[in-house]
Amino acid sequence: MGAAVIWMPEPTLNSAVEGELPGLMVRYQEGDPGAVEELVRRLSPRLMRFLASPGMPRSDIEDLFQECWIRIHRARHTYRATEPLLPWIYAVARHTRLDAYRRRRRLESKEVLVSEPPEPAGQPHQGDAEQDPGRFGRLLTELPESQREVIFMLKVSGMSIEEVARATSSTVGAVKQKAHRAYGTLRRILEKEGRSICLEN
Amino acid sequence: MSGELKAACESVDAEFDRQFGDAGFILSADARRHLDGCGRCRDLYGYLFAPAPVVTVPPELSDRVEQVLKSSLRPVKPAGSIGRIAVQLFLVFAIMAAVVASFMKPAGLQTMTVGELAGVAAALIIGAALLSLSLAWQMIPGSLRRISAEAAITIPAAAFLATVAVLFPWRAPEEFFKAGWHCLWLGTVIAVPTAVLFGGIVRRGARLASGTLRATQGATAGAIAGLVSITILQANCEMQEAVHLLVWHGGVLAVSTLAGYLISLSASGLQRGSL
Repeated sequence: MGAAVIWMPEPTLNSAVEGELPGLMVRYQEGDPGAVEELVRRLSPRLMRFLASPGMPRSDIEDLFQECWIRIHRARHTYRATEPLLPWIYAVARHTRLDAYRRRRRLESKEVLVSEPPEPAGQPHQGDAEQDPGRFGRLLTELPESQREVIFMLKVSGMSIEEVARATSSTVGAVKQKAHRAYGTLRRILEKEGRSICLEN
Repeated sequence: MSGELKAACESVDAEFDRQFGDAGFILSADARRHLDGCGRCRDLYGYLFAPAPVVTVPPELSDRVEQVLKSSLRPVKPAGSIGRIAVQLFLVFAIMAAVVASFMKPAGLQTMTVGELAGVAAALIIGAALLSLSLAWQMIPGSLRRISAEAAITIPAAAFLATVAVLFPWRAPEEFFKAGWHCLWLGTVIAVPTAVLFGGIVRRGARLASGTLRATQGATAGAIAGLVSITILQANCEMQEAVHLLVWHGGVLAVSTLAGYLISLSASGLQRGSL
């Protein structure tokens, strides 16, 4: 089957480059300015994609992005070189998103305490071609946020179940359950949308 | 869709479910054959494994971030391992309990039987260890948690209550309210500085969480402070009867956990208000 390659997750960074990240983080902890530049260059696209919610104005995404880097900076002493870096980064980014959502809700005079990140607005980002979430991105907006972030990390970031559990302050079992439910929902959506035409020949 | 084909779709679904998350996995020959002939599965898994859209970050934004980070860049000492932090927290529990108990009359230790003492000591030690570990996980982002923070609070409480219910005598207690209030008051007074101490240690971790997440952290610190109080009360209190222990000593744990939750939640709200 010629389409076999499509079953391979496509991480943004290849594994060799990704393997260098913990070393860069250690240099960052030691106060090396070169490591800061390198980490910002390598991790920013991932962070930007993770922080952007559908319908969020570009300026808000950029504010969130800067805030996330400041939090990474303040919490950098809690990273340990023996642990994977991406779950640590995503855990910080997740808190940044959650707090931004809470602030937004407060501004809307609806003080609601949440322990889960926001539900997506359901509207694709307007006016910026590179921010087009694509077909997969649009499908993800149909999922509850807790499932969406799990699928995002598994699929877009190519993280393992254990790494996603670390990033979401969850257990491996809970992540597996969310992923399983998310696939079920995606399958139902696709079938509802009429993409279930089977070529029975 | 025929029944046979649907069954084949479900078997491919199950294969993806099992393997998802393992980068670069290879599908079985049966699944590949099925994908050749099934539009539904090709569509679905084509979406799941299509390359993610490329996102670029404006160079001026990256430059701005770099400048901000470099302006306050200085070497930092990495935090200890989860195990080390957990041991530190547990030692604070043990030292606090031992030091405060040493200033009080060991009436409880003299009243308990060996079995009661062993049972309640085991429940308190295991509970403190679990809460120390949970607090350490909450301090370090990206930690792999074996159990949730909520379970880590519930299990020690349940273990203490069950141990008391099974091992201690069920007699009508004397001076139920008077003696009980004394224990609740003393336990709460001891829990306050202990919780402050644990809170100080927790602040050495990443201070990322807000709202209910920070409140959970506060509840965990409150629970471990409550266990310190219970340990001291168990050593000091003459009334080693199930009803007294369940209501009043257990009440200390409930009050300190709830207080930790509410205080952290309020602090989080004040911080939010100042943003």
